[in-house]
Amino acid sequence: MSEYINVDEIAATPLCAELARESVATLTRHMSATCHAKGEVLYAEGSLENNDLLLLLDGQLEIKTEQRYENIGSLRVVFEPGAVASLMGFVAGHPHVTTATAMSECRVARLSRDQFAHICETHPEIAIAVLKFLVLRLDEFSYLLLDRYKEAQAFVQGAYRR
Amino acid sequence: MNSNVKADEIAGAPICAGMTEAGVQALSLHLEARKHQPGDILYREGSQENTDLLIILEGQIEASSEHTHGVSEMLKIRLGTGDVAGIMGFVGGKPHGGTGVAVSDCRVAHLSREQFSDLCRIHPDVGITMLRFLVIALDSFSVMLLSRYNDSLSFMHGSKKKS
Repeated sequence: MSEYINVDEIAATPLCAELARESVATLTRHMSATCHAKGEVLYAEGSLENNDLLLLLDGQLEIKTEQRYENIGSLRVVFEPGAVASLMGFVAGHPHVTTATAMSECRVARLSRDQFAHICETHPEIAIAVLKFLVLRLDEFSYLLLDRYKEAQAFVQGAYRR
Repeated sequence: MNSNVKADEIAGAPICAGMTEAGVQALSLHLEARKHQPGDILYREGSQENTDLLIILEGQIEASSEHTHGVSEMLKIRLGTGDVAGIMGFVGGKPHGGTGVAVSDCRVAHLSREQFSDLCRIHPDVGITMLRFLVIALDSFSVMLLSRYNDSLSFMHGSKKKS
């Protein structure tokens, strides 16, 4: 069941870092909160469902990809309060590339695609700030992956040389 | 600024998909086309200079990432007309993740970060469409990197792909 969100709950999160208090209040009015028990799946890899943008308010979320290779663990990240999940389902309506599971009792703020479309119409400056934040998050993730890929490739190419 | 890019030149580019005719026109007015010769470096890995977003109007650019652990040419992508280069770092102003080199005579539309801020203020609908495109492009790049990273790990561990 969804609940209302207090503006103070999201004001200090990185998502709202570039927003004025009034804009945070507007964003809050377009969001709702849901509570989840430990073990509950908030969205599943490959699924097109549950494509709200999720802002974790309380608890921890495990973000994980399916194991694709024998003996190699899947990608696993633990999200703490303030983290944002479900970016691609939200922006592009693409299938989720990870599965998000509540590791403890969680409370998440949700922004639906419909509500975001409304914000784009009525408060484009807020929509731009949200999208810039998402670009920066993906930028960081790309740099991280690029580094890891380079390290793995260096090892592989070094192994070839030997 | 004196734009020298016509709306028709960029209308078919994926970054303009979903924009109105007026939106494409507005974007074109914020762009500046420059010519580059084969071998010209448009942006360099690790550098925070030349942070413009690039839309290729004619010719080809090769984006590659190297200079780590003494191993070169780890990642090489060929970009052509309509493609966008210099994405990583454009919004955040971080150092480039790769080097962009012209591999033929090129004509490239440059959008500076300042011009983009201006565009977001005056034509927020255009800014929103472009940012959505950047999110999707960066996500596709991440998915490709993740897949290659997993392939490298599987080679290192001698693992087989699960069916």
